[in-house]
Amino acid sequence: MSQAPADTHAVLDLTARRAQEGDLAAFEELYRENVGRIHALAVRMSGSRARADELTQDVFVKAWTRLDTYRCEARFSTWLRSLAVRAIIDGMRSDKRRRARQERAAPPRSTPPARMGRVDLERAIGGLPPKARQVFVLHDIEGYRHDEIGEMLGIRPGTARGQLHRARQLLREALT
Amino acid sequence: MSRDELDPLLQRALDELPDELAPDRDLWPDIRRRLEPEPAAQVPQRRRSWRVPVAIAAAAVLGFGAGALWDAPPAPAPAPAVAVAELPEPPSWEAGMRSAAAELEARITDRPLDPEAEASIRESLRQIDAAIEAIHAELREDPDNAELDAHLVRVWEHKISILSAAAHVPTARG
Repeated sequence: MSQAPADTHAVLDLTARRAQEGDLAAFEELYRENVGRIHALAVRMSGSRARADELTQDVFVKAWTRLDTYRCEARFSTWLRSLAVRAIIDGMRSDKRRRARQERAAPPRSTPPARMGRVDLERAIGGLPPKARQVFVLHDIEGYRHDEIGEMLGIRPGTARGQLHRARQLLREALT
Repeated sequence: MSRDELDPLLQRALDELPDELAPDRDLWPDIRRRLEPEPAAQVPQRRRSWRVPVAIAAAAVLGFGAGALWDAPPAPAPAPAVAVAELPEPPSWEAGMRSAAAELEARITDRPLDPEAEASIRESLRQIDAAIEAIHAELREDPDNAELDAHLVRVWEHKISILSAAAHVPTARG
């Protein structure tokens, strides 16, 4: 059997197979390869880097326990991203319940930056209202459809469209 | 995805967004700790025979019926009236419980017990340990569930009470 270098995804899928057999070192390789992407999703969905660290951990812990559901027909990164989206949304629902319990005031959102730029858009996304932020991230960054977003967030597709419109409007204002 | 509906300014900014944002620190050590099982040494489960009088074992089993141990953990629900601050932090209090359980198990290891009672108490502890594992599995899915936390505390307290009873009873004859 050829051992010639394969593309990154093929190598990762073989690593995923090893992880499925309980190889924690293989799972660590998968973590290192995917953590940047998952953490970006967590930061943008939650609006908090501190919370994103916790959510990212939760994603990988859940991925380890659900590895048996990964089918090697799809790329591991695709499977992981789908799991991450749902895990992060679940985590944020728990946050909402915890906030209601603790009655903690939300930190003041950053004011919109004065000029356009990569970092400024990141900050502006973090400053969006939670639902608008989630819809924007899922639609315009992650590429989900409105019906998919509606199913994940428990809202109607029409509501998702409205939230997206609102998010884009606010971001435009922030970037100009 | 209807990116073509995007304002050009926003589109340009989105195009420049990085695909990845690395955490400020390496999260792997914490993840690994959550994935690796608890060290077995602190909670020896297959020890030499423990024997307690039948009455103590029966009381321990009846006091917390097996069915209750296997009740499905409560579904995630809105927070109970108990303030979150009143619940112990899982890592430190549970470590204390494990330590106490290990100490009690060490005390009763060499106590001569009735075989029937031994089997009964052993089965109770097996069910309790299984319940603890099941609650941990649920907490991994729903880490902020205060009712699960409280349930875990109650189960641990029951384990300690069984072990305490076994450790302090006078030894059986023979």
